[in-house]
Amino acid sequence: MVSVTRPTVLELLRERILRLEGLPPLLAGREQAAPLGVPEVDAALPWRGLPRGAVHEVVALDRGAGTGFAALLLARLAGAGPILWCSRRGDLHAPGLAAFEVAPERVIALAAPSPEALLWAMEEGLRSGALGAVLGEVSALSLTAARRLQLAAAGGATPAILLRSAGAEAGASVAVTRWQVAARPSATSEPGVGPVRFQVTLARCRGGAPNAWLMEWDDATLRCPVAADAADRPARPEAA
Amino acid sequence: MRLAAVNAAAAGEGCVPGMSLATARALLPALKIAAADPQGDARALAALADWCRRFTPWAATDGADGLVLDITGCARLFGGEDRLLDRLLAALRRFRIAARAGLADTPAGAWALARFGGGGVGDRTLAPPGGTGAAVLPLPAAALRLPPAVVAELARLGLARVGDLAALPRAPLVARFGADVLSRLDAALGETTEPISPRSESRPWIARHAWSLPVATAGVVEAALTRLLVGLGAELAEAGLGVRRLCLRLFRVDGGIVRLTVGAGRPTCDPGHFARLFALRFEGLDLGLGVEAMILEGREPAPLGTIQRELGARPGRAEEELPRLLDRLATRLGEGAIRRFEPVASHLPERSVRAVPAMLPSAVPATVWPRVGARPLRLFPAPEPIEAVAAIPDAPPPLFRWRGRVHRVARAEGPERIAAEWWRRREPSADDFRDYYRVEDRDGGRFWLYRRGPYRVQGSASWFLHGLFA
Repeated sequence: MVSVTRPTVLELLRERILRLEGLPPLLAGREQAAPLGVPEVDAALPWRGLPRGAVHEVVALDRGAGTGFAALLLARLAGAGPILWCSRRGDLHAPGLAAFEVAPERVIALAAPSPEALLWAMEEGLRSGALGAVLGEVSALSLTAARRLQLAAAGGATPAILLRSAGAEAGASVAVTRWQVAARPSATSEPGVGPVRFQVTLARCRGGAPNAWLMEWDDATLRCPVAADAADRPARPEAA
Repeated sequence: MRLAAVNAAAAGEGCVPGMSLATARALLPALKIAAADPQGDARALAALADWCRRFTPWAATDGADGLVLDITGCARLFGGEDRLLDRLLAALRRFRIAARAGLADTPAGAWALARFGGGGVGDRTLAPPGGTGAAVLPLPAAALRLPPAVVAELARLGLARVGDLAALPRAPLVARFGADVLSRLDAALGETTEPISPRSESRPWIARHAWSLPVATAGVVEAALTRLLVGLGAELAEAGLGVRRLCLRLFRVDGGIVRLTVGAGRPTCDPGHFARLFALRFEGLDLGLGVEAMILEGREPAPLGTIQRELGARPGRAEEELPRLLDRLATRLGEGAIRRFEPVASHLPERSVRAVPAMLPSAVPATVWPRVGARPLRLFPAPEPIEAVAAIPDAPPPLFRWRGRVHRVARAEGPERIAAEWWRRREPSADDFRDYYRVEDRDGGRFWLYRRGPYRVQGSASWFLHGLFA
């Protein structure tokens, strides 16, 4: 006989609340979660990765860096399925996506004439269950619209990523995770621009604690560079 | 082997259809032969009958080597019967088809005149209106399109011409040769009518519904539409067809017609799918004072594609659902709004990608993206001018101002020189190139800059920001 201990009760209660809110439960969500492949980050996430049938938010403090990080999340969440990329402007450059593990031919680019049409298209794509993931570049988002997206993502078991610019109000949201992404100078002893670096802040995480990491992407692996490396130092080591 | 048909030159040397090939070769050693292809001929004749529809809607094939056109009421559109025949025969000559035309009040009369009239003079025989009988009577009895055995029997009795038959009392003729001879005679002389069945165009897929009272409620219209869709879908399914487009016309009582068209990426006959697509178009529909009737028409019918599944794989929802999702998105947002990317063989970054409609199957199935230098994630449709000065040639500017903010360049890669596509220019210039640099500013922002044209000491070179890296 195992006596019911307090953490189990708490866990069960948390599960119940998550289920009531239409969010991925912790215990079942763990099997379906998509790990980021960065041990430090995965350990900090309650699901040991990103749950699939849920909305994730990427706030791009730098437009390029935010797009790159969102593409990396997409590559991890989408599996082999097609990706619906909903946007209101057409400046996404397909050859650039390939460097972030998103094969451009998998992307279905949708140019929405209005914010309402964009949200409708995202919802429709999420509900259909035919897609690997849906990304929407949204500016303003009402709580109702966000809630609808979350329900659609849960209903279609399809992950959604909201890519938002820095100016957008970061108020109420039902997103399971919210990432703030800023660009950081690259560090390399070679001349030229080194591997891409992001300052990634997990600003919000259901059932988890906020956190922040410096991450580096070198066209093959995403990792957290060691602390000494991460410190602000001259771009090139000074010759002795 | 026997000859099935001969051309005029061979016939002039004495070759006739049915002759053995050896005999024909003996008569004419230079004879060129080709294997007969009756099915191919029939297909070509059917295609020619379709082509003839430009002269009249009533065109049909007739036997293995004939076409019959009912030009009643059509001749005046071409400036008269003779002019119509001019155009028809000239076009056939252009197709290198040897043809003879007969024109009469009856199909049988025209048949007789085309094959037996004119005595080999010219390429046509016309019977004036009302003169068909007079034109047909002197023709040989074979012109009545009788079986060869009957023609031989008639010839044995000395009845060589149509006129000889027409002069005989009818009852003994029927008793001796059967009713067929008389009916052929009557058809040729215009005593009985002989309708021709035109080759039908592909079957129209139409369903319609009319209300006894005008209906102004969208729900009622939708319910009736669903019934039409189910009916049409069942008919299509029975024929093994699907349609790519459905057009709905709603006839309003005020005389207005509301047209709604929905499209599907691949042919389908699923009423539920089309009902969902129409429901997207029904939003904000103006039915005015009501709708009296509606017509649903399927366009672009095509065989239903079979869905191939891997052996043992459970029926996947995704591969069937994706085309439907694209249909729904395209119906609401327009087909141009949903695109896929395809690489284009061009060095110019803005021309290196083509957006193709996602509805169409990909032209390049396993897309190979050319490996070029680093390319940005965001590429501005119009490069944005920046204020920048480079101190030395072949180097990026140490700082630049973009959208009112000064960026100090900490690291840079380049230049990558991309020349304009001179074959597109009317006046190619050697200076028509861009030197691209990938730069990183002190905050870590990574940009794609380029200088247009060669370096200039005076600082008048123009710099642009073309894209953003991650």
